[in-house]
Amino acid sequence: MRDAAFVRGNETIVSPLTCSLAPGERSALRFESTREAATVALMAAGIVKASSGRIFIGEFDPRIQPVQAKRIVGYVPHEAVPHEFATFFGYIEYRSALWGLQRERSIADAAALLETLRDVHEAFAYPLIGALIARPALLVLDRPQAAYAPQILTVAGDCAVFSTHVSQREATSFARSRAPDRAQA
Amino acid sequence: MRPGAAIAAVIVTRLRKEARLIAYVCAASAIVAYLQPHAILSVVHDPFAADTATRATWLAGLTFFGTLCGIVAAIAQRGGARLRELELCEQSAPLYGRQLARATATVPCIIVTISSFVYWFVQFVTGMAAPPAFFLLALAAVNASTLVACSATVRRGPSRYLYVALAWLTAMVSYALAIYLDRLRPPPRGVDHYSDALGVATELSFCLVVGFIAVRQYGESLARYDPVPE
Repeated sequence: MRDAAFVRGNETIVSPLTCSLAPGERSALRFESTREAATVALMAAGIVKASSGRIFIGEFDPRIQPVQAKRIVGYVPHEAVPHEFATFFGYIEYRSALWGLQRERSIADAAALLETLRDVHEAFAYPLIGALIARPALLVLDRPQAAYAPQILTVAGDCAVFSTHVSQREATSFARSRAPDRAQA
Repeated sequence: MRPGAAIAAVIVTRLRKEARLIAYVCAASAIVAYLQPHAILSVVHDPFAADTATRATWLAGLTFFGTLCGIVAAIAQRGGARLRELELCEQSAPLYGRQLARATATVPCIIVTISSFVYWFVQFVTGMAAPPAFFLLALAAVNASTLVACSATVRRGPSRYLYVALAWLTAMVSYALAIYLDRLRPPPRGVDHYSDALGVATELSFCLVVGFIAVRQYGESLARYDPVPE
């Protein structure tokens, strides 16, 4: 992100923000409001387009190549998994169809991840697994639970991890890692 | 990548989520179809006026109540907390705006088609059902206005109301074409009713063109749409 900002009408929702993330790195940013944190996560995932400044995901500009950019990102929203799905694997099949993945492979990956995340509450585990079955290069977490930071960072593996938070304590717990980390205030 | 499978997944999941809305819309359609007039006033003696009144009785309720249902179903598809999780899931998927537009526009169209069939069935049971050709006209009108209303879901403020107004305008123009266009020409000699051909053809063509433009417009709007939390 280079001077990426989001403005709606007269309201500045995200002030100009500059940050970069190399493959395998982690970045945990803290924001003043939940709305700003959520919007930055959406911008990092290529879902919301910056009003000014530039965002590149890998080598793709989400404004010009949204599909290519979204293919390498796994976005984990703060909201829980939609409860239209009768079963966990129903949700995985839905995600797999949206991403054009092989159903059997997705289910096998999801079962393995579910086993690894057995200590994590399903409301937090399911969206994470849904994002990871597409094997993204960048995992974007919108206000994840600090209590589950070790498990989340373990399953993320070599993925670059970008997370947004509203508390410094949470940001620090996600920035703690092997890579050149930072927790910005 | 199989866009067909992704579109089907979006439609099926959203329809499952909208089961309650479908039930409400169908129940309301059944009640309105039961309450609507089922006969032409006996004071109408002119056969041509009676012909027009009959067409109006067949189409007015079905078209305008169907349009109302379509607008409600379209608006319910986006915005607010109810479908927020599904919306984020779909928006984060590697799909083009036009693919997402086709999928999400199909859902209110399916809902409004089901409710129109319920309406028509109750009309049929109570004895004043539109013949299949006129039912098709009403179905085309409600689907076209529903597709126009879809664009309201990705807009805010006055432009949102403008698209709702355009959806009503689509229904009104379709209705006027179906009922009155054939009256502009004198009826054939020795026949006590107007021909339907011109009205039917023009209304269907109008709905087809409006629906096509509406889906294209919705796709472009969706590609630019930013689902920022309120």
